[in-house]
Amino acid sequence: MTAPSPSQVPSRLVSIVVAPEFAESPDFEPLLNSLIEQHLTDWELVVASNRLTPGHDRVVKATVPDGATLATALNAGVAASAGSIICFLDATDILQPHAISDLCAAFDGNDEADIIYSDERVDGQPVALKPVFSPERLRSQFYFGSLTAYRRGLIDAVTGVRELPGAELYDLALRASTEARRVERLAGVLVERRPRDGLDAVALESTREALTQHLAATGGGHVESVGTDGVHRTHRAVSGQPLVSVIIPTRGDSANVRGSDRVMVVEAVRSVVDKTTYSNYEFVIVIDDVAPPSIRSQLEAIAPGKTRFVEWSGPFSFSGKMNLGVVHSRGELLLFLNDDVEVISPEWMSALIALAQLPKAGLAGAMLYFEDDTIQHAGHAYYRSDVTHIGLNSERGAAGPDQSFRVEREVDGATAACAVMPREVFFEAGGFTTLLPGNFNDVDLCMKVASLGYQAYWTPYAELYHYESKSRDPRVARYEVATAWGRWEHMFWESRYWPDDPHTLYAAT
Amino acid sequence: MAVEKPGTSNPSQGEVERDLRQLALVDRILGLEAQVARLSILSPDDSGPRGHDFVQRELQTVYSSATWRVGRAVLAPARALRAVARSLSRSAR
Repeated sequence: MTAPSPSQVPSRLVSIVVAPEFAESPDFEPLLNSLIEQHLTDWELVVASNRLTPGHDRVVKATVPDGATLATALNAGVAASAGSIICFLDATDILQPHAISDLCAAFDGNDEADIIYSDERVDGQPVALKPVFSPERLRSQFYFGSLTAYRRGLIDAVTGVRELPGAELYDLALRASTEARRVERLAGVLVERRPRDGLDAVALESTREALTQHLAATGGGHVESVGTDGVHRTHRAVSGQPLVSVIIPTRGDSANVRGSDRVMVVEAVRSVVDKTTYSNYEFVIVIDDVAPPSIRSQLEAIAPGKTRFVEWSGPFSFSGKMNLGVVHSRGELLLFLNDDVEVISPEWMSALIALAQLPKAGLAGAMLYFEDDTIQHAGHAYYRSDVTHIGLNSERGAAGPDQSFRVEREVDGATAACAVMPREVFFEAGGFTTLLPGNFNDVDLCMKVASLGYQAYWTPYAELYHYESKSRDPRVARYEVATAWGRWEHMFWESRYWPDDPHTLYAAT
Repeated sequence: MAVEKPGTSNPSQGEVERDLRQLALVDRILGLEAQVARLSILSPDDSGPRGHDFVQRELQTVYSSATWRVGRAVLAPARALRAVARSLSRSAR
């Protein structure tokens, strides 16, 4: 969302609550000065402190007991505040002059928005623009950032800040976001802040507690680890043991990988069988009639009782082959897999399944690497009428902007080289369009899925090599562009979940 | 096309063709809806030298296509169900 013009801004009070004794620096003069310079004067600074505060008619002092915790101080600040909108800032944060007016206008323009967060600039780092509300990403990192504004009623409804030392505001965001009518991103940098210190042992324990409770309250899952850098490895749980149909189209081609010739589909299937921890799956191999007959026997030997073959005799059509494979499959979940992949992470299928089982999930995609250990795919992004892969050609191990290559998150789409999709969604979306036999068929499918109201996800915990050559002929036929853009050009200008330029390269950290 | 499927019975050729036809029909309808959406949001300024008349002609072409008309009818029950589901979802909040 973007802010309406200041002339549309109604009178409204924003309370900025700070607890300077708990800040890196108790000096909040820079914050106060940035407030004094606001275009709109509908703000108050609530200082939860027993020390003397600067004399200013918009500074409100909230008394806190001696030895109070941060949670107690912040709650005292809320109690002493009069605003209908509450923000909790660090004393060292500095607001842009238009921050308050933009916030007020954004709340005024969206009656159902209970939480609004903005982009931010961290000293010494490039600005990483934030995605629209991404609840699955939120369980992996507190990506909202410093300027997170709440309607007062929501703070009251969740009974304020809880005693979770070091994770108070993350916990508040987790709990409040599940109760909010809407959570909105306000595009644009409204605040500058210093880099935060890493989480200490107490904060890590609090974070684990907050996340554990959050997962339990939102469909289940578990916290594998919490990170000092604010990136937390949390997983949704796989519900039941649904049958997964792994649909692989193949011509039975061979290629050289790391100096050795291999039949690609054979090694792809072998890697699935050898490495996958999830067990309830079947292979549906859609195989060209010109493929060497020995491939079938090899595949049957690798995956006995799990493999069925569907013969394809028509002209090349990835879409047609995938659709044919699906109608011959039985799985509640469909796993699209190219024949030139190799599984890396044993939990890959479980990670994809868990996301594809979320309510209103459309599909879930994976982290794919080229043979040279650069990233091929970390989600789809659309940017100025271009369609591309997030992370393309960045180094394996790169964290990406705001650690986004390390967290499960919402995306606009994902490549069908490896993706899981609920069967009923596939049929509701009409499968892969046969109008696009070679290129953009997965983009089109993602667009259809999104247009039906389903959400796409991406996980870094499903890692595979995709031996698609970087030098693959990228030629695209005019009719393919005309078809894909004819349908979706209006959606290809920006990505809701990746507002940054997706072509940026990132080095390993 | 030959299918070898261990364990369970294979879908008949008729079932396969029916399912593929269903997929194709739904795809075409959603594609046409997307085209309508794209054309509808183009302002005369956005459409450049093609102009507003071009957009209107394109829309009429879409609306008058047999696929669009048949598809709208076929998908009508699903639309109604989705509308009811959305309504129930809103009222449950």
